[in-house]
Amino acid sequence: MLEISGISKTFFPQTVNEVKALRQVDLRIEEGSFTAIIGTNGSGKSTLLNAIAGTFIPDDGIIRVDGKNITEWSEYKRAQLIGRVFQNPFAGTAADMSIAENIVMAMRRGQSRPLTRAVTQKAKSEIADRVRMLNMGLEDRLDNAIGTLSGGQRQALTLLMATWLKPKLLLLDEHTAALDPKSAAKVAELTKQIIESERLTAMMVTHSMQQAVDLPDRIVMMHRGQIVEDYQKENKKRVRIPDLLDTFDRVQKRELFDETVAALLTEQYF
Amino acid sequence: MNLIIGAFTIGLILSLLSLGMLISFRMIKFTDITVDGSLTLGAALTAVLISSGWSPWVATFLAFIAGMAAGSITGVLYTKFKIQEILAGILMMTALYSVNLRIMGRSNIPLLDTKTVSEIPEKLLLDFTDGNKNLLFFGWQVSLIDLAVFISSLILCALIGWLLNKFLLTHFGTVLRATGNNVQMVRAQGVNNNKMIIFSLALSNGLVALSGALLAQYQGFADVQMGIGMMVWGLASIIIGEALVGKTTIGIAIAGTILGTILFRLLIAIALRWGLNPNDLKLVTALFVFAALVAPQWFKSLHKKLSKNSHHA
Amino acid sequence: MELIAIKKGKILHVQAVGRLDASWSDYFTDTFLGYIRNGDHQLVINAAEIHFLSSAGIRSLVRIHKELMKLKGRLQIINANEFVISTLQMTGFGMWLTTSVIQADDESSHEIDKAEKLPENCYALPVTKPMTLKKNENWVPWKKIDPEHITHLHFPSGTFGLGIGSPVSTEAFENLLFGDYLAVCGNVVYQRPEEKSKPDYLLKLENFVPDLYAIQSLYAEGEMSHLLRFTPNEDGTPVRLSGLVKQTFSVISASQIVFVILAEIDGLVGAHLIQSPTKIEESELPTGLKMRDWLSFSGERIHAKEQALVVGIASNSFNINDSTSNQSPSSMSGLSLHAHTAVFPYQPLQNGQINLEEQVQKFLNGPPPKALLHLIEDNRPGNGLGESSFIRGAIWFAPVKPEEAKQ
Repeated sequence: MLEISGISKTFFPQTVNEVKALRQVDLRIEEGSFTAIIGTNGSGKSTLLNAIAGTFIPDDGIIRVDGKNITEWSEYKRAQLIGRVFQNPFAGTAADMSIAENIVMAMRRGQSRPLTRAVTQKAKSEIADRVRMLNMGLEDRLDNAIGTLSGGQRQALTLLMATWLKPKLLLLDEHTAALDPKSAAKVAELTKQIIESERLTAMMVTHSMQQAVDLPDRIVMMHRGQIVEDYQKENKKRVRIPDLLDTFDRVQKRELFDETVAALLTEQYF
Repeated sequence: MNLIIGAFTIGLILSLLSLGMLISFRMIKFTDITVDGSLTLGAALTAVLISSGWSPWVATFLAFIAGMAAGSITGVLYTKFKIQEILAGILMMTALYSVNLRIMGRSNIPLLDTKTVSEIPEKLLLDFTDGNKNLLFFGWQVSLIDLAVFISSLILCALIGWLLNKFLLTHFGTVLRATGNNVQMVRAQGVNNNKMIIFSLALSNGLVALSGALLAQYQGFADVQMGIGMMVWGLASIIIGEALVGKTTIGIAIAGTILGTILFRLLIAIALRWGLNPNDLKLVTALFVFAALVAPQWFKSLHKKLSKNSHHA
Repeated sequence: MELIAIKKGKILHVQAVGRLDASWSDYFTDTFLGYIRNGDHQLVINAAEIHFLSSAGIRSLVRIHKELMKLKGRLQIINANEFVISTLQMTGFGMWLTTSVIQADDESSHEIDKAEKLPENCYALPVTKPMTLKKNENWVPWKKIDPEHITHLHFPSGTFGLGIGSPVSTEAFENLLFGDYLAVCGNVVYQRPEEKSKPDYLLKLENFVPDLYAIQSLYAEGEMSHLLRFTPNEDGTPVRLSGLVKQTFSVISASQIVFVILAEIDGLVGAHLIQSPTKIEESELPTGLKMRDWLSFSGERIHAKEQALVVGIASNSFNINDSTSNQSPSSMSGLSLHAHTAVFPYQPLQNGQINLEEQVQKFLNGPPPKALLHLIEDNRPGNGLGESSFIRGAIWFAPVKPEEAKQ
């Protein structure tokens, strides 16, 4: 489905702030799989997601979706294929516009925008039907501005919007991190439901090990712009939070192992 | 009475400017200074074309197109060349000053004995009143020609307002509005936000130029300086409109903008009548906009302070 | 609930004020376990102001009592009011109640040996079999391993050792996994050369003598001659490994010692093999970052608050490894020492004189070891982590004369 080969990205090249955010990352995502990407801050996990979403064009490497090379596609063009939910609950919806208007925009994600009335009665009843499934009582408030809703409600709507037209790929960028625990649990549950019932291919960046263990069927761990661990199938089923923490430790320990340590150990170990 | 009708008419004509700015300033949240130049552009082009014998209708339409072109260039400067919005507007406005002078060939063009778009309604009205050029209107004597222009402006303004409302409620209009609200979201929905900005600025400046074209025909001349300060003018009108009727729906915001422009024009007319020095007009307008921008925050903090004090009590 | 502790001689008197019920029992338990961890095993609770004792409170007292029993300590309750007395007696815990404090058992049986002028907390142990040391450095880094490098070592009781070894197996020698190991009192703890896995261990049983294939080993046989108990330095700072070893050299006159430490960890710095030397293809010591593929370095001071079982050999006059070998262990502050440590979950140690073999059995039969490290003194200027250090514990040691390594 998604094929990433050798993508690299350096921010602020040749300055003191140079950051090698992605280094030769290779990743294949199978149709219908749900992958979590975990890693420390600055490990490149969000950068990887943004590279797929087209927020920037990578310095190097190729991104393919169903064999189509989309590396040079702009962010908005990729929206035909990709649905997204952001970390910031305010990022996925237009605050001053009504629930109905927001959803109507998502109903034509990546398609043309004709000069016909957007929020018709027909559209509204369709929206009400699907919004009712969120069990948040929002179906009676379709004309209210989205800005009046809570973060959890907005994030649930963003998720609904991102999946209204079945995307080839759903990208979730720490979409529960900014929510209170109760809303986060609700949105996580909703995510699972939607992904399972629609059989979506999804990638989720998360800080929560629990989420990484509970929700998806694959865990990719990143560190310093590289994939350092990839738990798939049986390995994923077996992996528990302490294993992930161990791997983090190991990866960080390896990081601390520099030339001076090598010299020290040459002297003292052997 | 003629004064009031005059103020209403100018108000209606300028409300096209305000509607244009409603798109840039409020819908896509773009502070567009091009307005000062594109208003003059519309006026200059119409004046030149009409005085060289073109149909006023064609001239007015071409002014609208020219305004759209000017707005698109600002949009391209901002989106493709990543120039800050204010600077992009200033560049375009400055460039337009020379363009306008080139179009006119001198700093002003009078339109005294030429036809204008108000010709047809005038004729219609004259037929209606059997050639009587003055009319008694609730005991006031009213120039028939002024009334004709007023009525035609009113119809035009209502028509454009209605169309704009329709447009903004379409699928296209909805994403246009969302562009000013949340660019990231709009991109995630597969919309080329840059194109939306360029289009919005084109539409906005088209309306502004249209307003300029009508203004030139109404007042009978085009002046290379007539656009100066018009952006602040439009702003003031939008703010008054919002204060009058709010902005709960698109229709209300459009109606409010038109009402605001007329009211603001009336206030100015009254102030001038009372002896305000016309040279001070721009300063007064600027002070007014300043107050309108600052007052809400000031009231908010005042309110906070008061409620804090009451808590202490 | 308020707890005020005052040390009187060897006994810690704790005045408890308030209700000992479900809401305070966790606090009460944790505070008392803290006292025990700090080495106070004779505890007296002045219960004059305990107004109420619930079943949760009794559970807490039982927990403390059990912990003390393991350490041969004692819990006494004095000045209890009628309610507390009747509650305790009704539940069958009347034995804690005393009218006057019973003094701690006299632990000074060793003072007969004080003729030697041992420092406080140091005990001379009866020795029938002096410690001897065998060195085996068949494999010299960074040679390709061949079967001749392998020595089959057996570890009956009374043997100690450390080095690089592999479990005995019928596999082809290329498939042997050599990793760090230590042996103490005939038990072996071995770290597979992998980053993730926990150490394996072989316990001495009646008919079973643990054995290993070793390519490098320090193998000692005999009895420990002394035991030294240590606590944090007077200023409260933890005890550094080199400081501890130096203390042993001031007790006995020897140029080389074998030692075993059981102690609560302040921080360990060390490394272990993560790839078996059987995988060596070029006989060239890996340099720079290539070393990452062979060794894992702790990277920070690790395993604080856990328990270390260290086996080591130290010399204060010469390098314990012969000069022909390029194996040069840490030269910590004038000392030359080579030590491996296994890390266990924390368990308190009884005070006073304790038996090495018993204690080792206790740890090896408890929760499994979490790690095994070759201790390193990180003396890199600027960002060095220093050497390993301990909070409190015991070090057993014996002088040792080296035997020539057989060729």
